[in-house]
Amino acid sequence: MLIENIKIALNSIKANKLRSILTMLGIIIGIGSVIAIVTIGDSIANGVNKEMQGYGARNIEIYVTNKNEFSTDENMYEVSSVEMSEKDMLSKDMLLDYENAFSNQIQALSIEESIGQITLKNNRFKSNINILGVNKGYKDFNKLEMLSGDFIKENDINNISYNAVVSDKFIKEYFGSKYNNNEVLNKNIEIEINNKFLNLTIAGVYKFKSDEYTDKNTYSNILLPYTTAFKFNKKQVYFQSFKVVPKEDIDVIKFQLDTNTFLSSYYTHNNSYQITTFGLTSLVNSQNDLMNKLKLGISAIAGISLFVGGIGIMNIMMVSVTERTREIGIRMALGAKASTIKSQFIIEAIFISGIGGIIGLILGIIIGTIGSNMMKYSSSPSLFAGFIAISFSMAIGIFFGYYPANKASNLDPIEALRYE
Amino acid sequence: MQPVITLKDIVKTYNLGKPNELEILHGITITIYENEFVAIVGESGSGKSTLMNIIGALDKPTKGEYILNSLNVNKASKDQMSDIRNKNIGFVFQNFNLISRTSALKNVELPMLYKGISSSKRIKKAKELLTLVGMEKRMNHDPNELSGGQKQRVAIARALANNPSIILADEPTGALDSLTSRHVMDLFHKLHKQGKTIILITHSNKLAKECPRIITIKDGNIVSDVRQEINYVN
Repeated sequence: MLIENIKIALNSIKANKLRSILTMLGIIIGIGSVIAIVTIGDSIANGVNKEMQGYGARNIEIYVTNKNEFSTDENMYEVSSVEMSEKDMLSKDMLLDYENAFSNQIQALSIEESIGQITLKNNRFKSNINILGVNKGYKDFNKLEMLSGDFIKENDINNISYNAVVSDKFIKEYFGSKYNNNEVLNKNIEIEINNKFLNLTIAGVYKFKSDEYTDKNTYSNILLPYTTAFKFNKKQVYFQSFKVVPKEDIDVIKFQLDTNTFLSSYYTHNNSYQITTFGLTSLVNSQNDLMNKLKLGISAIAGISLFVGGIGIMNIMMVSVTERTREIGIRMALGAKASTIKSQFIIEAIFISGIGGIIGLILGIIIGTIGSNMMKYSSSPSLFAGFIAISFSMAIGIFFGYYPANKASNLDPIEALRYE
Repeated sequence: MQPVITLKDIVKTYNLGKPNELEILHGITITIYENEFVAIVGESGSGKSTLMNIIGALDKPTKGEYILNSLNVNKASKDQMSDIRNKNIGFVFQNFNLISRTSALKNVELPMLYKGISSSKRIKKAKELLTLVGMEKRMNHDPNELSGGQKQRVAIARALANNPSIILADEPTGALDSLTSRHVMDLFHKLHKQGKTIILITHSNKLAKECPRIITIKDGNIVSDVRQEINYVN
């Protein structure tokens, strides 16, 4: 009987194609717009996320700070290193443990140990050069592009080598036009700093980029393995700070919280020092907030559209029942029970709204995909959303189809047979 | 012979208890036996439609008893009455009442569908019945592609679908011309010869005279109930 009712429903929809499509319109628009908006919204969110990733807005900075002096406001902080001893700082093993624990969330982890600055003078201008000891992750964290040679390697760090990585800007300033980026590899440079001499071999050249947030374009960096820097500074390898950025799809707020919790576990018995993490959480929060509010707003509007669409279905079903009064009378005379008639019309309503939902879903996916591709960062529509959409539209069919179906089933066969 | 229909003191009153209360049938008693071909004749307003609705289990009497094939129709619920109609009664209407946008074959299948018969069995039986009434060449036509006479023949095939105890025909030739009417009446005679019980409701005395038994109803009462010898020649 169910299969027959489905056949009857499809037959009825087919027989009145124009009317059926006009009825479905509300559902199609409602579902289609939700799917399209959610897809485009997700891609906008993805895009903003990626942009923030680019601007370093998702970077987290971790510091070992003095418990007493420290205030929790971002950007204003005092790091006291005078009384900090090595047992208060983060060891290489702690950092390794952290990296392992968060390996599937971390995009890059950067360590810096500064030796100092020197001033390079040549004929035309002078510039300040930063001598910086770094780890492998510094490159990815700062998104450096290598033009020739290699960045600092694990070997360099373990062997405390004097391989240096410099920018193409530095090459130009130091060597003039004498060498290009490739010819300069394995050349030596000697620097005097803090009354000591540092003899370095150029192992790689990266593309200089100025930082968009601070005017650092008068600075350039010479990058060494951090172990070499610590050695030069006559310090043991212990860290007061490092930087980390999570992968694009990771919730940065939660990541920051988890990082803080993990590293703080090393400081539970430390009375003087603690871990403090910084991130542009307020920015991320407000961005997430805005996206959610937008999605909610659009979904509410689409919900109204669906409701109106449902009313449209109920309207048409009422007309359909009236039109087919005689037919209902005939069916009852031939033996159809009230429940049979009711199911017949409810199934018809479910099919109208269900088919409308499917059309809306397809339309929404098409529009959403086109829209999101125009947004630079595309996003694919979620299967889950599609499933919800179809189920919801069928539910609308049941809800709004019930009244007309009930009316049909309550017809008196004798009256119905007399109906013109 | 077995009585198929037993009506005892049937009274039908509309708007019972209200100021516009109206008694249409004033105590009808009829017994109809298997393989009878009965005409119920009356003018419009005589109460024959009301009586037909009661016989057809579409309506319940206000008073009295109706036993159909040993089933007590008075005591039946709405759903049970649907069932009784489905299994025992084959309706033929004046205006055919076929389901539009549906093939002749599917129309004939309908009573069997509501009985719960499987698709293959339904189709087989429907084809047989359409052949019986001479409509085998138009099985897949929709009603709007058929003439009046053809539609009525499909309706008769449909009425036979569940092998009912009675065929209840309400002015079956009312919308047909004389030639087609003749064909339809011949079909009824043929079915009667095959053993079917047929009740023909009509206002035409001429038509009634073709039936071996004529019950005349006037102003809600049976005024005559006569059996006659019919020499029916096709």
